[in-house]
Amino acid sequence: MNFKSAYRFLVCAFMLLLTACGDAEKEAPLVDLFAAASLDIIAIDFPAEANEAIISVDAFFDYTIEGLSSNGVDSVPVTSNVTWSLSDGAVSSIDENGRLSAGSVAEQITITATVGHLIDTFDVRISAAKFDQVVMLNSTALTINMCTAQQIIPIGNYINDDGSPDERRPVDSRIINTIKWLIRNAEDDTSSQRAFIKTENNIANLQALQTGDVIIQAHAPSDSQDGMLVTSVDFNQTLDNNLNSIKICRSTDTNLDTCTLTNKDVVENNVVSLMAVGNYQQTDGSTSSQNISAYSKWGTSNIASATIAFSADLQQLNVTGKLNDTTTDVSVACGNVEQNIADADIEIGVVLDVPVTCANGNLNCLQKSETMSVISEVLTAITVTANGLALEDSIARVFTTRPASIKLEVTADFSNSPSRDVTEGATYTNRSAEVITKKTDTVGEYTVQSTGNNVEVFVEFQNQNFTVKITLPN
Amino acid sequence: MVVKLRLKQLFLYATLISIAVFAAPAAYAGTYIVLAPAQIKIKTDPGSTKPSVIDFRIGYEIDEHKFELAVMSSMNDDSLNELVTDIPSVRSVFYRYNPDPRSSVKLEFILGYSQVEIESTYINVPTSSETFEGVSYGIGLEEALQSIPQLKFKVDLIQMYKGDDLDLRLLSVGFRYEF
Repeated sequence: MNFKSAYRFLVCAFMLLLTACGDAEKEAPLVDLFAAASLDIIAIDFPAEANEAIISVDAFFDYTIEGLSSNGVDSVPVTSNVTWSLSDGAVSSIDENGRLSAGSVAEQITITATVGHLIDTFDVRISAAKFDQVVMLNSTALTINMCTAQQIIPIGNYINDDGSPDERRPVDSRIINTIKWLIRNAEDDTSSQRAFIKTENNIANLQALQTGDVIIQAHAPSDSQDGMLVTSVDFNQTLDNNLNSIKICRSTDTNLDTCTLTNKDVVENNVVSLMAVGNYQQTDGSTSSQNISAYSKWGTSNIASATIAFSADLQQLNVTGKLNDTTTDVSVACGNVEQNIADADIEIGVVLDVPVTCANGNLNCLQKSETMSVISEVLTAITVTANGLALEDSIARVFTTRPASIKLEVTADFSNSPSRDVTEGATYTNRSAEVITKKTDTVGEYTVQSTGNNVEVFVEFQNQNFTVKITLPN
Repeated sequence: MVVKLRLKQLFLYATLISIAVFAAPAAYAGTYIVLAPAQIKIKTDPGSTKPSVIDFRIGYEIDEHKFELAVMSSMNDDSLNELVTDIPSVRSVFYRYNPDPRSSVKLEFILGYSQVEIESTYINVPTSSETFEGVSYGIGLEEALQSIPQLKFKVDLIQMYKGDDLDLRLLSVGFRYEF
């Protein structure tokens, strides 16, 4: 490369680069079109049913928008490419996810959502009215079947200091998490296990566990009464049955209408995940199936054979095989079962160490039981590594440096369960005691002596053998 | 700062480059043309499209230096859902430097300036056209056909425009003919 010409090239390049300048303002209209087109939407709006027009001071609310698809018919939720902003001078703030954090003063604000060239606004009043009590269980009447759950939007009464008319609106984020829900059976006014209301992340869910009529009350601290706990009026709620049948399927089954539990084997020390599927009668005459694991009651007949436990999200039951060549009946029931259930179990999911059963003739309870067989693992081979290096059975591996110690790790391969480390469970016979000596504090680890070259250790696990051979340098 | 550069400014730069290049004594010199289909990727954060253009260039080669004027026009538009993008015209000047002219497969460094016009159409939005202009740079590869040495097969990868939120990248595959 000629130095002179390279110099000229660099001078010219520098001169041209001086004129380079991105122009975001000029690019914006085209980039905006891409933003809307990537979501395939032609308009956006704030769905009224999902957004609140009045928010309490110091509360927060997550605003959402939806887009009108380019076919002009479908509405789709919009969660990306959205820019949120508030009207000038607002004390409140809104983050990049649409969460409005109300300030500590009353104000009227406008939320603006922008997706590319599409813009929509929503007027919100930040209200200083104080929460008094819950006056409605939900904004609309609820219809719910047993062993299902539905989100409820409790309506609260808010009182203004200035004597202006009270507000009735969904209870805000400060209040909804503090409500203690009291549920009684309608017919005898006793504490009820027919339903439970669980509030997580500012969302309250009514879980119907049995059928029947219940009375629900909300027990919440009232801002208008200096934080005193106020109990709401009674809210009457019917929990419908409509459950045609219940069955057990593998949690991996996707077609809930047709699934059946055909393979009932559980490999020892392995987990099989099950789910309860309920088939419900719809008002239009059709039926539908859904996973009702979380709101059903589970039991097992033999915990020595296999144990059962809910997954973290309660959407599946994990059966762990414990003792091979044994069986256990895994049962599930929806409704008022014969067994006594602790109130605490209602909240975290009911799993009993005994079978769950419905009394004969009890039309408000359906059950299903499956016999699970615990089978042993089928060992196909063991493999061994020495200081992390793979070894071959009875074939000497040559080490290029003489280590201070040798650590053997044994892995067992099974035909019906995943491979696992069995170093602790294997037995070791040192056939080269003059070269290595076993360490007393760890399994499978040896101290290398100063002399001798050929290491040989016989490893055995469940009748599978592996002869370790290592050639050490001097 | 926004700098509006018109074609006459392009010719000013072209002249400056030409002076720098032609001042040296030449061992080889000649004109050539290039014809190639090309694809320009319009890339933004939310999405991208790849309209196609016909790439025609006329150039002058002197030793390891080439100076080109390129004109491109639309061949095919491209869509992202209902957004249709097209590139009606591209005008560029390129300086190409080949550090090893004797190599059979020639690698060239490209520097220039481009004006790229983009036309976009979307539902409920009037059809709009905007021209983006700026420094272009890239690399090119070419190899002569053994049967016709004046005819070279060539590939260019050029960043035509790099803005704050928009990138325009050219992939051109075609032939160069030396007179």
